[in-house]
Amino acid sequence: MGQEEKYTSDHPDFVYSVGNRILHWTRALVITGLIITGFYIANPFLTPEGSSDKLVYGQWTQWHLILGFILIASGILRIYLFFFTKDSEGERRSLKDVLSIKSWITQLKSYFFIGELRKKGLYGPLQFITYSAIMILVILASVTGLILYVHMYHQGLGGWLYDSMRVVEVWMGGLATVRYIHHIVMWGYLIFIPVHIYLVIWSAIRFKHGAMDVMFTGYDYHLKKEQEKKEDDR
Amino acid sequence: MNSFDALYAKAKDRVRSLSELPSVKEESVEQMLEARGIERRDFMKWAAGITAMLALPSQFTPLFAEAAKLADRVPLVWLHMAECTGCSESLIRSDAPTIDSLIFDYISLDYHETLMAAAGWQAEENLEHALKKYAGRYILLVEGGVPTAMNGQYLTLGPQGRTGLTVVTEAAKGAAAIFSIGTCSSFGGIQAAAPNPTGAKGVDKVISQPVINVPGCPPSAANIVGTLMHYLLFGTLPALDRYHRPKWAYGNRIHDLCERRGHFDAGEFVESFGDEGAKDGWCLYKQGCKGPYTFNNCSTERFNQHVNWPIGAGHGCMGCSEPDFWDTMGPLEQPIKSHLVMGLNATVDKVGAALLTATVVGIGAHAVASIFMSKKEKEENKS
Amino acid sequence: MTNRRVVIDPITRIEGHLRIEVEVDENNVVQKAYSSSTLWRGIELILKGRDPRDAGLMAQRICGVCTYSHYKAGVEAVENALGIEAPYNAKLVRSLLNASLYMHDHVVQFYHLHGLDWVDVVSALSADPEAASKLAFKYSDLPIATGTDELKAVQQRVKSFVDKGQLGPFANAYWGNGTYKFSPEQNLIALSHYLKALEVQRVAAQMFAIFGAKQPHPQSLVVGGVTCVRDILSPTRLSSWREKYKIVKDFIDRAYQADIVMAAEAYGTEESVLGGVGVKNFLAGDAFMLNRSENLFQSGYIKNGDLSQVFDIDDTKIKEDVTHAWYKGADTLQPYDGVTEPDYTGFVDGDTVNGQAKIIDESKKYSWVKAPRYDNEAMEVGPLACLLVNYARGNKKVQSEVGAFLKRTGLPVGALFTTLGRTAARMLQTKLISDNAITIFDSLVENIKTDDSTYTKFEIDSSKEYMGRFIGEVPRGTLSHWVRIKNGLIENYQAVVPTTWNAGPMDAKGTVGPYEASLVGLKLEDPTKPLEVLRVIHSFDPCMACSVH
Ligand code: HEM
Ligand code: HEM
Ligand code: NFV
Ligand code: SF4
Ligand code: SF4
Ligand code: F3S
Ligand SMILES: [Mg+2]
Repeated sequence: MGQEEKYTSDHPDFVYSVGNRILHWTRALVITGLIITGFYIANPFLTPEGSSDKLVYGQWTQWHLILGFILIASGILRIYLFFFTKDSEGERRSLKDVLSIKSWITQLKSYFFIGELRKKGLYGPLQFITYSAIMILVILASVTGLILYVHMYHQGLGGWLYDSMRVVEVWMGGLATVRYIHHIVMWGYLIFIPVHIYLVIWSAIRFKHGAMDVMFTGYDYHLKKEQEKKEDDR
Repeated sequence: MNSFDALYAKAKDRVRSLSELPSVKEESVEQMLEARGIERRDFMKWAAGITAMLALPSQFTPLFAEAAKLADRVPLVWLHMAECTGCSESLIRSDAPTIDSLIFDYISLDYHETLMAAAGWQAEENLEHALKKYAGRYILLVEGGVPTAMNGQYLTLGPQGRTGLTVVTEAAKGAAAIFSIGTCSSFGGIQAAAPNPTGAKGVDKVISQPVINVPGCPPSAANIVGTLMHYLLFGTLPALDRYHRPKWAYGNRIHDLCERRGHFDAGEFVESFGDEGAKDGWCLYKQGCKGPYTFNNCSTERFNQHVNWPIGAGHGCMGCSEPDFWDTMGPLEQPIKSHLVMGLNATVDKVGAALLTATVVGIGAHAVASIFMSKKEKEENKS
Repeated sequence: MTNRRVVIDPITRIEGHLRIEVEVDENNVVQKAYSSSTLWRGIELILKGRDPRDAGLMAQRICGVCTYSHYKAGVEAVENALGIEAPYNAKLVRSLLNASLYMHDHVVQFYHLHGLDWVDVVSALSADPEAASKLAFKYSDLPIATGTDELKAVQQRVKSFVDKGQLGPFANAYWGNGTYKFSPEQNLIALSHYLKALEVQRVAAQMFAIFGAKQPHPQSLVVGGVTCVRDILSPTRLSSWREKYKIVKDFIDRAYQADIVMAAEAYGTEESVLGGVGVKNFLAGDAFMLNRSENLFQSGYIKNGDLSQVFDIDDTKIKEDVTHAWYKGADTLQPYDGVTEPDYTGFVDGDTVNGQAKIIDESKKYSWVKAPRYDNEAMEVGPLACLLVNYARGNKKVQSEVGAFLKRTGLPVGALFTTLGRTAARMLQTKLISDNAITIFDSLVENIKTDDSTYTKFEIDSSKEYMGRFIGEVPRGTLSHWVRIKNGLIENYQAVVPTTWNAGPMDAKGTVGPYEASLVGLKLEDPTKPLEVLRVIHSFDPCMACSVH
């Protein structure tokens, strides 16, 4: 260190497909909505004035469910994209980093301002784990949400899923526990989101990679170091 | 054959095979009804009530009446394990109007420690006698959890000091059907709540035969009687849910048929016991009602001949028919989100809020450090 | 000849798991007696670390027979600790529920649990129903369920049992024992009431459920008050309570009271029921708020059967000894600091009048019941204790009720200190409560005209430590719950229960408790069929789930 870093040129990398980008923002909105509606479901603070005909709580629940199903649908799509599309090649490569202790150390160090961020794929191991954790949260929220759902609507999808969901419900320790897990998942998100946004912005500034716009344009405009460029050229 | 016809045929078959059994009682239920001045009309009304409760079509009513009349062929053995006798008490509240209890007289109650006249060695003899004489024919009902720690010695019974575990295992061997009456025998109950000092377990965890669970702390008399009646009519296990509870009684959540449900959907909640909402019968969700997670028919059957039930009396449901409800539903007067975290005086929301604060503080610190570091780096670079 | 051992396990027609052992001499007279409960559940340990607001509902599961007792005790112990006072309405509802509970519990105990010790079911068959029907008027001006045809039907019902040797729950009992003293007609009257009481107890339970949500195991009390605000503000519910109350009270006046008078007459000279009080210290708690200024029963204790002096209870003198109980610990502890740590030693092989069995080794530990002591003395608790303490206190209502009974039966005050007296006291207590329950009800109706509050809000400060207790009367005697709260959670919880006082084993000094003391000197007709022991023990109304918890 202490030596002037030499950047050669602007170098746009294609990182996110349109699908992934749309999915990301849909999910960002949907999750925000689910947290707000879920928070109300857990802690109904509004009471309607006058008439009981305004099904206030029922409507919050309904919106929660609509958003919930969008989340489930986009979750399924996202998993599909991760495994089966070429555009996600970079992401899949990240797996290699996850399995390498060295790159863990490198990345952890980088967060503490020691050295650069180097990775084979798109994400560093920490990033990969964080995003996978979110995926797991999505799955947990979806499964526990569905269990809660099948007890509200016994026809159609609710009826169809009822028996299989009850197996999972019993396995999880009963409906109360299911609701409890569902609630904890909300906290998982609440804590993740600020970290996520912060890290995205911070990494962008620190490592001079594209910032928020990556998720909009799909391209990571960043300056490449000479050395890196040479590696690339080979 | 469609499922209805199949069921009907099964019930008919069962009634026939019951009628072929020798009677345990000499006087028949029919004679008894006559002696007690109970008219056929009342009796049929009662049979219709049971049919409806079990969610069976009305065509089954005559078969039910027939099966009830053959109740004198079915001996019962009722065992007490680690329990509070609340379930037995619930049983003796049975009434519809008084026919249920008469039927109980007629289902020969051969062993029941709270009610039987004999004691000590003579009581023990009655038990041995019943298990031997009616081997393969008696219904075993168990009230109470089974202590299993210390080889089961937290409970001993009889002059030979046999453990509850031994007694229940032996009684299960010759039983035609086994019912766990109450949450204690179904899932362990109060004594199985953490830290479960006696290793108490539900009956189905200590024996290998199939068990029908009739949980509730206590279950309503209707659920106990109904389960027996179902057995009388079909002679087989009813449709059971994942926890081996009869679906006709435990198929719906309290919340599904709760009289306060409209207020729930409307977002009208009791904010504090005794407030205006409480006086208006608003939903008890915020006072910890566990109706949304509890499978039982209290909201329709109620207790004590439909006089009242917990939510009716302004207290939330505490989930008393669910496994481990003492541990999973507490604190009982708070919503689940305030569940204790590993016995610590912290709730999920508190822990969550604390973690979130820590996160935000962490982010702030990191951001400040970043600014500081990048300045430093720049200075270093200049030099 | 050495003493022979009699083992009775299970003692039936009680709540729970009780074993009684006695040693009889060559004349079949009891020399020593041991009382042991054979189940431990550990509820005091389970309560630790829980939210204090859950104490009531959890402690309630100690017992489903006196089902409301531990609920109220748990709730009020926590209120006492937190310094909360429930609104007047809530207190009245709790008092009314307590009255409804007693009216249920005592009726069931006398008829369905204790009754068969006094009533020979088989003998009732040879009764003349017409004579019995007439006889009923001797004990009540308006007898219930004793019309000739009713009695005939009862007889027929039982006959079909007996003739064919099919006794169902009545099988293999001690029928024909010489200490059964009722005439066939008297037996028949009581048997008819046995059946009638089955119906009445159902009504009593309904009456309870109106404000209690359900019975057993009500669910309408909370720390700070009661939840049944809609029920008490509803005229239909109130009048429905009143109707059911009348039915139950009617039965108590016309059947329960009459049958006890009848028993006093028939058993007045039966030796085996004229002893049975070995511990002559009696302890009682407060109960039944009638209105702002009056409780039906007051607390206190008397010593050595001396009715001329009553003492006030001092909390700090209540302690529990575990020398002969299956727990660790050498000290007698005050319940706030009480410890419940199991230390099971079991039974030993031995010879009994009925053959080889497991028996108690009395030199060691032999019961799950602890031995509570007041100022190092054993105490009897229960309806008898309640009446004696209140009689001695000069409680007018109690004095006149007891006085009238003694006058009517021609018995002296001393007759109260017997097995028969204990059974009579339960009826007298029921009568007093049912007579006064309507005062509680009227106070409630009066108060809701101007005041509909049922709940007091409160906060639990996690940084503070609290301790508090409930002491009061429940159907089987004086109950106390003791709680310490720390970090907003239960730090220690101890219950000292009526049946614990009565059924406890010896203490370190060898002082025995009421059960064990009551049996000494009792003569048994046939030690292999120890009916007399059952009768004495049942007169206490044992509840073992309560006693051990
Ligand atoms: C400041 C704006 C944000 C930017 C620039 C941003 C950027 C990113 C990036 C680069 C990724 C990794 C790529 C990927 O996995 O698809 C990502 C993942 C993710 N973001 Fe954001 N994000 C932002 C805000 C949010 C918000 C507000 C939420 C939720 C409320 C959110 C939810 C997610 C989720 C759930 C994932 C990971 C799952 C996945 O799609 O694989 N993001 N974000
Ligand atoms: C990020 C995802 C989600 C979050 C943060 C979230 C949050 C919440 C929260 C906080 C609650 C209240 C639980 C409590 O009382 O403690 C809740 C309830 C519920 N959620 Fe979600 N949820 C999510 C996804 C879903 C999904 C995918 C579904 C399924 C379609 C779903 C269905 C439900 C249902 C049915 C309830 C119960 C409503 C009721 O009982 O009235 N949720 N959710
Ligand atoms: N002993 C006792 Fe109880 C009472 N009464 C209560 O505390 O019965 Ni179950
Ligand atoms: S289930 Fe409840 S009522 Fe039944 S024995 Fe257990 S604690 Fe008592
Ligand atoms: S009171 Fe309980 S069961 Fe009834 S609607 Fe409200 S939450 Fe559901
Ligand atoms: S607490 Fe139990 S009694 Fe019914 S309303 Fe809830 S299941
Ligand atoms: Mg105790």
